[in-house]
Amino acid sequence: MHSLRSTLSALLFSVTIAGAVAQAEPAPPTPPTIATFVHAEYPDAARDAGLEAAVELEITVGIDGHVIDATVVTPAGEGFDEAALAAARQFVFTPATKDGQPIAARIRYRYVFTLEAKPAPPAAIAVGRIEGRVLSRDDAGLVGVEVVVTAADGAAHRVTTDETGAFAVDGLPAGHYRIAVDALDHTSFSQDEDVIAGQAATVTYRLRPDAVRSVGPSYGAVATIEAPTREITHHSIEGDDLTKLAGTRGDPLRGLELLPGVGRPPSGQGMILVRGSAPEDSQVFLDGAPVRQLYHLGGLTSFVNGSLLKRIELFPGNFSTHYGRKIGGVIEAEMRDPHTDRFHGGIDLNMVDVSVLAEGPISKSWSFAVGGRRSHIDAWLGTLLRATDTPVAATPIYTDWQAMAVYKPDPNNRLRVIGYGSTDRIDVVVANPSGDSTNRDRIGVEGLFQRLRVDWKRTWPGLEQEISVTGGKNRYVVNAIELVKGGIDGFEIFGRADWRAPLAKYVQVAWGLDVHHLVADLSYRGPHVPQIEGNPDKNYVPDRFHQQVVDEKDHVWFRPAGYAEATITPVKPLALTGGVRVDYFSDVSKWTVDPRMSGRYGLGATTLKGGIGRFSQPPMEEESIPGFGNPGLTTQQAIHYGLGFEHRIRERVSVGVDGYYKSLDHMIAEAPSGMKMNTGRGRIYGAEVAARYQPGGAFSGFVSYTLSRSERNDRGTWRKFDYDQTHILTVASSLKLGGGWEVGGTFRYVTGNPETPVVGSVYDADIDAYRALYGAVNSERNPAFHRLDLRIEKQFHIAGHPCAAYLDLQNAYNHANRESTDYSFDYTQRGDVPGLPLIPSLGIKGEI
Amino acid sequence: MTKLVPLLLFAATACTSSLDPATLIARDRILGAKVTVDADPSRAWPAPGEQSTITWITASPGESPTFAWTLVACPAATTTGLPICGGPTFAHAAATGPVPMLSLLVPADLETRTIVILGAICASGNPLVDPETFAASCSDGSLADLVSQHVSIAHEGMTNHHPDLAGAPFTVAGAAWDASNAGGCAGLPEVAAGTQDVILAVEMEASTRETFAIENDPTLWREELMLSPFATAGEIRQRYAYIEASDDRPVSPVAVEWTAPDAEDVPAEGLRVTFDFVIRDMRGGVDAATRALCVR
Repeated sequence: MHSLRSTLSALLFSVTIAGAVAQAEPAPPTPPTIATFVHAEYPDAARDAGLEAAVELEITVGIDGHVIDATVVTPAGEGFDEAALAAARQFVFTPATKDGQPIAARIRYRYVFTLEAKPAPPAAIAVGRIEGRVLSRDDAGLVGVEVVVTAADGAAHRVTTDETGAFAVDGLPAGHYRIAVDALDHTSFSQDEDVIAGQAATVTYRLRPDAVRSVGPSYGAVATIEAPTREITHHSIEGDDLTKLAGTRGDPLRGLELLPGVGRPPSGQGMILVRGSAPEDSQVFLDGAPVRQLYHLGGLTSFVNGSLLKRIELFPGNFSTHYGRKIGGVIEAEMRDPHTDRFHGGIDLNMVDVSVLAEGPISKSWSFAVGGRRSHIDAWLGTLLRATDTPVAATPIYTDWQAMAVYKPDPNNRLRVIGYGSTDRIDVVVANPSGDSTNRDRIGVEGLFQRLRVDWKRTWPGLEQEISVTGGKNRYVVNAIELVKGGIDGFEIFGRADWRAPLAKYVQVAWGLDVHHLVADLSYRGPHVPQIEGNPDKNYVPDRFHQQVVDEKDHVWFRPAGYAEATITPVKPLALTGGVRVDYFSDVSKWTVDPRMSGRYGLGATTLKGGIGRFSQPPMEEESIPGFGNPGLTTQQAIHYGLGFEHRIRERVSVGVDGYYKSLDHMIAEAPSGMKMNTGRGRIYGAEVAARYQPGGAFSGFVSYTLSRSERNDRGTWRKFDYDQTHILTVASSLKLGGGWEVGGTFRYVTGNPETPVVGSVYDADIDAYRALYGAVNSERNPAFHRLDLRIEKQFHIAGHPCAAYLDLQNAYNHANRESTDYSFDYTQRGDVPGLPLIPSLGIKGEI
Repeated sequence: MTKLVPLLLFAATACTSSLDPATLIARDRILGAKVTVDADPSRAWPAPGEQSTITWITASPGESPTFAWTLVACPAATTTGLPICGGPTFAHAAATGPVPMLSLLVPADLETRTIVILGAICASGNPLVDPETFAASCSDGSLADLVSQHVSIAHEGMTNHHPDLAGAPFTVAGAAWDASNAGGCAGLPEVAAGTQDVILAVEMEASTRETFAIENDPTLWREELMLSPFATAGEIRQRYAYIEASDDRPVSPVAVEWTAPDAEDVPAEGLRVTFDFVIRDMRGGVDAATRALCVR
């Protein structure tokens, strides 16, 4: 409890300091203004359906006025998002300035799609027209300004000014209208106008410039401090790729497995393998807070509704000091804000689960989103397995939920309260129809976590601050036959405070604190848990006489950290980032200091990059528990080296190459006595090539290829890592055919995982079972894995509501991939354990 | 803790291909080992200084073969993984005969509480063991069975007795099922070819399950029993069946299901199917029984 108070005190102290800094703020910078506006291509299907929409974008404008990045903040679907992004990426701005010098800036922009009004029939001229121009104070036409014409009955028409600042709304019934004009960098404006049937009302509005202003909840324009890219390698999934990659069943987090540097886990095992690292060496974050369990048990789907995600980023190595406690890679999933234009409701029903989502505005400043999902595979899988006389019936049951309330009183403040959680249960029931025994026909696993998060993001001119606290309950229980029981049950809190500011013209700094605090009961009764990775002996034999019995109450893991980074730009194309992260791990009483640095050098469309950094990772929670693990363990260490380049071939088309080397030290390995020790080492090296055609048009896709080698040395001999995959090739694409049809495909080729040959066996008369004698660990390999997934989607409308039906085919040509080897009871015969066959998943989703 | 999940699911789902089942006696097999104290054959734990015999339980699809074996006894090592010696061997046997066995005198000054029996057994030819790799073969080129068996040493008044399977009542499809030494199908219960899920059961009295305590655990446990069934034909559905430690009934049934071979595999005079059952109390106590029936 003392540690918990310390955690909160540290965060409150941080808030106080930030407030003090804010009071000494410099003069406001000027925001960027649009110099070249590009009209978006209206989506055909939406036009046919008579749909209009507004897409809220976040645009990062470089110091040269070109768009560095654009992402969708509030999507509208129906192809609007892609079209808006494609147009926005071609915008050219007059850059933001500070002290007269151009600076990079991030702005919100609302791209409005309106259908051109059809000419009114001459016989019924009961309508009129409003037309005019929106000008700056010096009479220059303001480009891309949203003009909203609202009738007395509330019917609104939205249009955007053209290159000359002109706009027009046709077909307006005669009457009284309010015209609201909202420009990016000018004071908002509204005025009432009358429309007379058969006539055009011509207006001219001049707007007053306003650098920092409040324009309501839907969009605004505030120059923000744009942090330079700190990771030398990062890959992201956004736009359509989030929910439409073939083979992912619309789950964006499943799409992670397709990114460069990410290995393929065996079928049914939800794990992330980043650049040859063990699954537990990488960490998934949701809005900066670590996620304990990414996938529901069985690996079917991830724990969060994909349509609530804005973006997923993968940092496969050399990540910022912002992240720590891991030596592999980092995945950051970012939740989007709820829609604020109107209420939305959606449902997605497929063969595995059903999910619902509702969102919309609560008031001018508040908005909300709630969603939930439940699997229903348990309703039919058991029946199917029994019908096919399968002796094992696994019935995964999972639920997850998300709820979010967002308060945005002005563009400089955002307060969010977010709740999310997940429950899982798998019962593996071995057929036992004779009925009278036994507890040994059942293996049960239950998992649960619930989280409540509060975060506050505040922007001052010259300073950004984000404070978040995420906390909640964890429960995880394994109950396998009568002799194995284990679980962890406790409360976890994670707090983070981040600041970012320009220190001088050529120096930007970011610093922060994070604290991870876990209090849990840990219990275990069962046989010694052996080393998993690098140990071919998967025979987990219950043995009452050599049981480990652990019952640890209120065990505390307290892990605070501080970090700081500075980016220096001595000359325009060169950015050097250096930082340090300091961690403390109470469970092993260890301080670590991890310096990291990276550099980027721009040569036109090409950027050269490189970096080096040190990374530390504590043992897993149970590994240092007395009686179960070894309290004498210390942190595992890694040094990451990276070198590469990126090249933008043309708009939406880019290619990148990254080479890397990771040196691992103090890795936890099992000694002959069974004790876990920090005696292991590792080395991982390889290269990744990625070419990407970004979403935004009819076609999008990417090709990624990874060449890698991952090796471990437990006791003096180098061997391959369990999931060492030499070649990983992914080709993914999607194509919009028109008429609401969209097709996509994903092909994957991956070198087979290493395997350890069995050279003999010993009959263990104690337990009536043969035990394998193994050859050199991981000295053989499975055949290569390859698979094609296809997805077909048709969008349509029912009573004006957008709907879609989709068919997702996993392993479309039904290739029998060999996952591992199955042996006869005495290891004299061997057979293949096949991977997943052709699996069709039919789904339908709709929005209200 | 999450590391356990793939391990357990792997264990539960790995049997995915059609390989020979462990319960089918398709070759000469070793089914277990029974340790008896010569002075008291009901005891499974010899004390230091006591003479004991380890007898290997075998089964064969045909006539009883002659086995050849090489066996050693030594203090057990405390390492994890495969059983290995933790000290010098103190007993050795190399012989041939119908039943592999090893007689040993437990050293009076033995410091460990467990010894291990290691060796190789051949159903034909003589065993050849490579001491470096622990690989074994038989002199005629056939496969040798490498074997291991731990033997607990009685200490501080604690000992263990064998469960009594030979004297327990068996049933087949609910009818009494007695042992029979007659050849062929004469006098055996009959089952129609292709019959599915025939219940083979035995009842064990609670008195045959001792109570005991283990180190670092104040709980007084009752022995659990693990039944291993084997058949020379047909298919047994469960590899093991259990009477759990928590089962406190005076008489506890334990059952498995067997599917008879199809008619095309059954000769006109009927097919005699021999069943071997081995029961373990998981503390070193072992017993075995044999039954037979006729498939027509």
